[in-house]
Parts: sequence; structure tokens; C-alpha cells
Amino acid sequence: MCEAGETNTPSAQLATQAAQALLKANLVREKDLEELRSALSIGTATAGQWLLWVDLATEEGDGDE
Amino acid sequence: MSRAIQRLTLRSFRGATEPVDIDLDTDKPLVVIFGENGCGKSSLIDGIDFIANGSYGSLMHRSVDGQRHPFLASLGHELDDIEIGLQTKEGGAWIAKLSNRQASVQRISNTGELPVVHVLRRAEILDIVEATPAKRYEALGRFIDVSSYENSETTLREALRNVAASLERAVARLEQASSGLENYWQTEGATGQSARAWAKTKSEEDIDTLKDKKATLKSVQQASTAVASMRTSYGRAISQERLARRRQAKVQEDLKQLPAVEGTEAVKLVALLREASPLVQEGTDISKCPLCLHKVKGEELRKSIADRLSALDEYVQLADRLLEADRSRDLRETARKNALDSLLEALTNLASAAEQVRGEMEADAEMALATLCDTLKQEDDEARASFIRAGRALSLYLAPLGDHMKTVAADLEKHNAIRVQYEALVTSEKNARHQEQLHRRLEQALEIVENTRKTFVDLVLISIGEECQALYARIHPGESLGKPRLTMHEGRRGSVELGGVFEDQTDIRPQGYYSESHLDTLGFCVWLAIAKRGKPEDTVLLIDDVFTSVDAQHISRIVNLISDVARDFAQVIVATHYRNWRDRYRLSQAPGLEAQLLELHRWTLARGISLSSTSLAVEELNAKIETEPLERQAVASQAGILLEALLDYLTLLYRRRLPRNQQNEWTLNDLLSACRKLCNQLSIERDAEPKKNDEEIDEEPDENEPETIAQIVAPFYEDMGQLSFVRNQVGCHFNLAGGEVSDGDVRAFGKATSALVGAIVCEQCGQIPSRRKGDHFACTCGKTRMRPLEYTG
Repeated sequence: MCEAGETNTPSAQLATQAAQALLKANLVREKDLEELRSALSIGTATAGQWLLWVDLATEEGDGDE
Repeated sequence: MSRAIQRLTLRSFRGATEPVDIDLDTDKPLVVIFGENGCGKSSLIDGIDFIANGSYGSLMHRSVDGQRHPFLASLGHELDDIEIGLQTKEGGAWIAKLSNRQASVQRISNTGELPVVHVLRRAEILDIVEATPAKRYEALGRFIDVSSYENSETTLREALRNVAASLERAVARLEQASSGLENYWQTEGATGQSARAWAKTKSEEDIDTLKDKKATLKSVQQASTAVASMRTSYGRAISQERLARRRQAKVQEDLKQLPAVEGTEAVKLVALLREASPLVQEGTDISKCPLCLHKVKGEELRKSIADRLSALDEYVQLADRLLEADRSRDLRETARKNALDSLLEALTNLASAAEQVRGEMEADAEMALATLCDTLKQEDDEARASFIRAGRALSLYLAPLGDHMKTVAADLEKHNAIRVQYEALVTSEKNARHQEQLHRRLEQALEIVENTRKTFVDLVLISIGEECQALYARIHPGESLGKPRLTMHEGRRGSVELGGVFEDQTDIRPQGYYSESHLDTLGFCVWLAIAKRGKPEDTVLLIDDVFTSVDAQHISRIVNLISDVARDFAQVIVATHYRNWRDRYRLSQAPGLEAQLLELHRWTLARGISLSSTSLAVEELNAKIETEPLERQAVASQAGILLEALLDYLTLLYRRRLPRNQQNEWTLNDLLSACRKLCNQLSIERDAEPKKNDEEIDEEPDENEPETIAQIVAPFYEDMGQLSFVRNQVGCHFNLAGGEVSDGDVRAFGKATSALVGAIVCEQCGQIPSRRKGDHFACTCGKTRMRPLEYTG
């Protein structure tokens, strides 16, 4: 699960849990899940990325409705 | 393979003024390094810490003038000389040097990884127990440090703030658009149900007709303007033509005033002479006149023409003026005709454009248009003049249509204004809805991200706390304090609170109530519990002379605890100045066969750090027994000490009575008396060694019931007891009877003592069974059991 450069740090473990919880709540798309998890793990997620992930998930949700 | 450290080398590092090479027994999970203060224990620990963690080790807690790194080098050595080597059991090898004040670690073997090394010094205990919650968090950080995750959590909050600001702006824009439209609606009479409904209806109206009308009116206006412009041009062209004709007439009049020359008109003559001049110019061979063909003299003819032209100079100038006037009149006449054509074309265009607005024209304009159309294709001058007049009239009559066009343009502008405002309102509504939705979902995301982190950290701390409680209970069984608990500080990031129980208070701060030794053991248990959370199999624990305030009874429990947990880790290295710690292993009161015992010698500048292995007491005795010539006193004394240690331990374990005295010291005879009946009751049961493959197996072994070997202790005690006098007579005192004791008896006493110890001590771990378990005492590895649990006198 961990990319090169990541280790099984507390942040990495936590990132996996949080990413799954966000996916379950439809706040992130499955196709963005790995990118999100990796960014959470190594602390590189930017405000812009958060907006994009949540916005895209919202659009996808709207599309499904 | 294990990451246990197999070899450590120090060069010019801290106390190592001379090179030190230490080989560690990686088959044993525990290494106990004993040395009195100032022998170099911390140098060894710091060396491992430096290469594995890049840490300055114990220097981290001290400095001189704010500097630490200069003191990494041994006294009299350079920083560049520092070199630390480390090899692991799995074949890894590294060398560390100091570079730019940092550890520069070079791998010199392609196998294995550096072990994870956790070091516990007294200062770290203080960090865990007595430090502020924030400092404690730092100490625990490597296990609960989710700062990377928290960085992303921070950017999520930033995203939420950004969206909140965007939402605020979007709402403001919506209100502005709504208010603007409302005002406009009121201005326009407030028809319809609402401003929004009115604007929607208005903006959806078809405006193509209006647009077409505006275009038509514009074309009429442009045609009318063109007619006016062409009319002006035409008038100017007529004036200019008249002027040119007058100038021509004036020149002709001037010409008539001059007398005729040589019987012809002077001007024609000048023209003739001018035309003849090139025919007789200089260089041309002229023998005949080109006109009359009579013989002439060329030179004379040329001169004659020139003279005549010179004489006619006034005529020459007049001829030039006449030529210019004729050309000017021709040009002006052409220009007038062109202007007339343009005017006619503009009038034709006007007639065509005006035809499209016929219904909106005044009666006079209608009449002028009709005249214009009637005379459109007539060529005679009168009709043309009528055509032009009608056009001029029509142009004037059409002027009011400009106002009509302004009204149409205003209608169009209003429509556009309503449409733009309505679209702004719709866009603002959509944007505000989107921002609101995004804000709500980002709030949900933040809640999930925050809660996941809190739950994760809480679970880790609960888990560490529970492990810590179990460890602490082993060191302080039945005491009215303990149950340590770790919690994140409410509302403060990066802070860990340490709580515990004291008497009837269940959530106190231990640092305010516990004794120093209780705080030491508490810090140790927290540290150990944390270390167990990582990957203990890849982890080497270094415990650097931590327990300075703990009494002997608790040290004994700590020794047992460390012996137990050592098996979970790649390796545990304990450095201690506490001799009894080491002797517990030597004297089989701790699992001596599972520990490598090293002893540091006195440090000197010339020798630096030096050390040697320490054998178990029973091994030393066995070696002495076999030595020739026999060292009688040494054997008797060594056996006596070993025997006393064993019996003393048994009396404590079984609470046997001993005669009281001021010093709480007992003689061997006291101990022998106290243990005689006890040893008659003792029985030992051992798990048998597993059979090798080539040994014949008669029966199928029962997997649930390991084969055991039972043994009673009494015979061994009797054998030893008959010879116990040797200890006093040969090993301790001068007396004549001692000389009568044969070497054989001394050897027999030594062997009997060794056999008694061997009968009780576990062959696997080297410990006297001393842990209460069910109906028996068990050793650390659990393969040897001693019964009964209680002496029944």
C-alpha cells in the first residue's frame, strides 16, 4: 500500500484509515483515493487539492443522482 | 534474520581513547554490561545511538558554552578521527563518522538494515514523566507522531476557510445582484410577481424584431447621411468646374489681345516651332527641311527656330497657361460628373432604404420618395434635377427617424440590462449554492479527518497505557499506586497527559505524589510499553544505568521483567553500575544462560575503554575444579559463595526462618539448617530435550504433554551437606584441620555444590525457578518447575 519514500509511520497508518472513511462518506472519489492517502501520509496535501477532491466527489455524486 | 548487534567498534569516540572492538553474543537476547562509574558504559551506548540515530547521545543533555559536538571526540583526538562501526547478525555493516557536526553513516554491506535503536537514559525518563505534556509528546512522538497527517489536516482547514470566504463573497454578490434587480424592477413599474420573475420573462423576450428595426433605421440614416455628403461633394465639384471654365476663358481672351505673327496665329506658330525643334536639334544630320524638303543648312535652321521662339516668348508663356487651363477644365468636368454619379447612387440607396420604412414616414416624405422612385431611371436633365430635389427633400423628411432609432436602441439597451442583471442573479445563486455545498462537505471531511486522528491517537495511547499498567504491576505488585494512563491534552495539540492512581485517588498526576523511584519505574514502563508498539523484532533497546534510586527488591523485579521482554526484541543491552544486577545472572537468580555478561575495567587515558566477558559463578567453579594444580582455597571459597547465594535465595523464596542478629547476616550453617528440611521436600521437573531425528521413537509423543524429567533435590543436598565443612576449613579460615582435608574432598565439595545448583537451576535459561505459576515455581523460559510452592514444616 505504501509508495516508495513512505514508511509504515503512524501518519501512513492513519492516512489509510482516513482515506477509507472519506470514501465511505462519498467525500472523495475512488479514483482519487490513492493520491489522497499518499498525500495525507507524507503531509503534502494542499488546500487546492482538498477542494478538488471534495468538489470532484460532489460532482460525481450529483451526476449519480 | 535478526538485526541484533554482533560487533561494535569505537575509534576516537568519547571514552575510546584507544580502539575498542566489542563482540556481542547474538544468540542471547540480553547483554548486561557492568562497570563502575567512569568506565565507559555511556560511551558504548552513545556510540550505538550515534550510528543508529545520529544522536549525540548523553551529550544531548549537556553542553559547554552551548556546544556539544567537540566532546564527541576522545580526549586528545580530532573530530575527523571519530569512527564507529556496527555489524548485525543478519550481515549488515555500517561505519559512521562526524561530518558537518552530523553523523555521516556509510553502508559497507549490501545486506540487512540498521536496527531501530531506542535508548533510555535517566534524562529520557524525566522527559517522559516529569516533563510538560508537550515535551512528553515529543518523547512519545515517534509512535504517535502524526505531524505529516496533521499538515494535511491544516491544509484542509485552510481549504475550508477559503471556501467560507468564497461563500461569503458569493452571498454578497447574490445580495447585490438581487438588490440591483429589485431596484430596476421598481423603477420599471414593479409589474409581475417578483423582480426575478419579471426579469426572467423580460430577458426571455424575442428581441430580433427590435434588432432588425434598429438595423433598418440605421441603414436609412446612413443612406441619408451619404446623400447629404454626396450632395455637398457634388456642389463643390460644380463650383470648381465653373472656376476652371472661367480661367480658361480668361486665357483665351488674353491671347486674342496679342498681334498675329508671321501671318498665322502666334500660338499655333509657337506650337509648330516647338514641335520642329526636336527634329533639328544639334547632332542631327539635316540637309533638307523636314517640312518642305528644300535644301537647308542645319545649323542655320536650328538658330532660326531658336531665335523665333525667343522672339515669341510672350506667346510661349500664354500658350503654357492655355494648356494648363484646358487640362484643369477637363479634370473639373470629370470630377463633377463623378460626383453626380455618386450622388445619384446615394439617392438610389436612400430610395431603397426608405422603401423599408415607408409605413413610418410622413406624407411629404412619402411623396418625395415617390418622386425619387419615378425619376430614378430618367436621363434628361429636368428629370435628373427633379430626382435630386426629391432626394434632398426625402433626406430632410427622414431626419426624425433618427429619434425613432434612438428609442429602439434604448429599448434594446434596457433589455440587455435586464438580461445581464438576471443572468448575474442566476450565476450568483448557482455559485452561492455550489460554495455552500462545498463548504458543508469540507466540514464533513474535516470532521472525519479530525475524528480519525483523535481515535487513532487515543487508541495508541490506551494501548500503550494498558501495556504500561501491566508492566508497572509486575514491578509494584499489590501497591496502592500505579495504573498509569496516557491521554492527549484536550484542546492542545501535541500534548500528552500522564495520569495514575494513588491511594483512593484515581486520576492524579504521578509527578506530584510518587516517590522518585516510583517515577523512575513509571517512566521505564511507559518507555518500554512504547517500544513494544513498534517493531520489537527489529528493535534494539539500550538501557543506560537508569535505576539509581530503586531498592533491591524492585531491582529484582525489574531484572526479571527485562529478562522476559528481551525475547520480544532483537536485542536488549543494559549498562549498569549496579553489581548485584550482574550477579543475579551470575548466581542464577536471573536467566544467566540467556544473557551475555560483560564487565568494563577501570578506564585510563592510555588504555581507554577495556572490557571482558564474565562467566556464570557455577561455570567458574567447574573450571576451577578442573584446574591443576588444584587451587583448594579458591574452589572451596567459590563453592561456598555459590552455595550461600543459592540457600539465601531459597530461604527468601520459601520464607524459611533464620536466627536474628544485628547485621541481618547469617552463616553458612544457619542457611544449611534453614534449608535442610526444605530441600527434602523440593522436587524439580524439566521438559526433556527434544529427540533428534536419528533417535528411535518408540511411542507417538503426546503433543499436549511434553516429555518431562522429574528429580528430587534431597540427594544432591545430602551429598553437599556431608562436605560443607570444607568451605570453612579450606575456603575461609586458617585452622589446622583444614590441612587435613584432602584435595579429593575439596573437589568433591565443589562438585556437590555444582551438582546441587545444577539440580535446581534450569538448563535452558540458567535460572532458579522462582515465579509463582499454578502449583509450582517456574523459571523464565518455563521449561523447569520447582515444587512445592510452600514449605510445609
